[in-house]
Amino acid sequence: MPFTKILIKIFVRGFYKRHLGLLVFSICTFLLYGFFIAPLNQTHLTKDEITAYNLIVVLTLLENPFMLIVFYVILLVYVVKSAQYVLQQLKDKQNLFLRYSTTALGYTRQWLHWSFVQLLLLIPFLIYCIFSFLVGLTYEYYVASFVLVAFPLLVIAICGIIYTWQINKLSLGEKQVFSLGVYRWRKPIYGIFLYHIGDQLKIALLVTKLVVVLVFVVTNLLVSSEDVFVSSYIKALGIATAHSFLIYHLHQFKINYLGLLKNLPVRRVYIFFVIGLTYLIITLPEHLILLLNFDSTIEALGVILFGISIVSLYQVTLLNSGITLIKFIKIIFLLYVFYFFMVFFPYWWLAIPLNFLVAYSLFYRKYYQ
Amino acid sequence: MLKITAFEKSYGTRKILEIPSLHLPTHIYWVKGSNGAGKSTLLKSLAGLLSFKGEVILEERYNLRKKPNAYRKLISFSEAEPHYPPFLTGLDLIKLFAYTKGTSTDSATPYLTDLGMTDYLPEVISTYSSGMLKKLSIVLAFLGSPKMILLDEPMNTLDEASKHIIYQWIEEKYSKSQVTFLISSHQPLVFTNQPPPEILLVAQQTAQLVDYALH
Repeated sequence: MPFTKILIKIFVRGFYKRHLGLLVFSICTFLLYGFFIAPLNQTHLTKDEITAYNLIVVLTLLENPFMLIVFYVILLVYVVKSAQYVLQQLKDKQNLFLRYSTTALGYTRQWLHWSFVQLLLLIPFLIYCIFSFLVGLTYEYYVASFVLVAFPLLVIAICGIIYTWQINKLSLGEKQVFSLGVYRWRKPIYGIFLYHIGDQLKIALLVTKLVVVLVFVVTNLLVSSEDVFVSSYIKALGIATAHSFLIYHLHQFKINYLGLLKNLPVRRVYIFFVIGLTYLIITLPEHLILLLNFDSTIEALGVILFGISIVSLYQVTLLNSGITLIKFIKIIFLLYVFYFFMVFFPYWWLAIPLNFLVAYSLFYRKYYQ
Repeated sequence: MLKITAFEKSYGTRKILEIPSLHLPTHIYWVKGSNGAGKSTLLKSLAGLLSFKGEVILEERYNLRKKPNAYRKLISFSEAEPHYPPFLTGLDLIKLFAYTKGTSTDSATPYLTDLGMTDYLPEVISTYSSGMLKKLSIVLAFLGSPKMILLDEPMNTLDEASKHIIYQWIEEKYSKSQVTFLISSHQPLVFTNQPPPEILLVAQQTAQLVDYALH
């Protein structure tokens, strides 16, 4: 079926490609931890007993309504995430052709195709559901087994209806994000990235801020609050890294829409600091919280400059030709690990001017390439 | 053929088009107007891609608002600047459009041969030039048995030989299958075997038929 084939290429492959890391991590953790973990000094359990305990884990889902509800909540979070991806892709201009080709099919056929897409997106959960269903039937939990499988199927059918309705809607979502007055404000080069974040990256910004909250919580738990210097620098590194996803998108925006900048008489050093300035503005609340911990202004300034220097390094890595999101994430991960351990060394702050120097030298060389 | 009544399209608070009443019998129409006049907005609205106020009815039966599915089966559209996912091949798209329009993939062969596209069809879209993309989008619009074909700036980025071939296709489709064409273009449309097209002028936030001799 050409329709299904194209939907799989665009939506299913795209979704799994983007979320592969998270899925592999979650599934492996669940399987390894739930079923295959070997307790230390385990001598008292026989092989049959281990199998029996594993079965109990599976059957608890069927036996205990609370566990079933927990499972459904996790499933629904996943469904919302996948549906969000599909609906976002539907708005992409490169998928506009689907609106004036596939909509010529009857609604039922469209619904079947879209439901199949959602079914493929739910494969990790469906495999577990079918496994539990078979175990449930074997142990005569007939009603619970059918309920377990029926719910995801119902969700798939509903998602199919939503996608079919969405693609047939007489609208491309041509809404203005800001009121007309805001669009008429001045837009200097240093502010243009802020407009882009407000216009297109609001959800990404929100998710980034949630990650930042997590960074603060985890750092407070792991690092002693008395060691203000180390704790603040680790937080600053975490904040910069959490914003790397936004940095990537701002770079894409620069490539796709601001190519003309290279032809304008704008100095390289100015362009270099624009991303850093944008970063500073969107992270003002986080940095203000960090600054409250310091008595000395110079030390506080060091933390801010450290964050900007890291972001400058991150943005420069994007100037390498052919860099993909996956490669970018790998580089960010390596830099993060490196700087995380460096923070514990004395005279660490010397890295700040060094970062700027390396970042600007690379930027200077690669900007016009 | 196509009846438009009480049509209104705005972006935010800015009104783009207002067409109180317009009747377009089967014909070839040159949708004419300056940049930003609303030509693409009109074509996209008629293709069922944009929301609007009012009624659009095809062949007295198919109301875009009430029977969008039946309406869309009879309408084909080619974008001014076509975009497709870069990892799909031209053949993927031909197969999809043929399937959704209820025709065979082979029905595209004459069009592909005429434009010399058969060689690069198995290649991914990311390797296509803008001219190749344009040709592909026009071929896709000709597939199946549409009653109306909407072509937004079809001649942009095409070479002279391809333009000539597409003019021939339009003439043939109109004379043999009685297909109505709405073609937006900044250049006059030149047909060899047909009288000059009717002009649908999009200006001053409305669209109306005007005399060819006056334009």
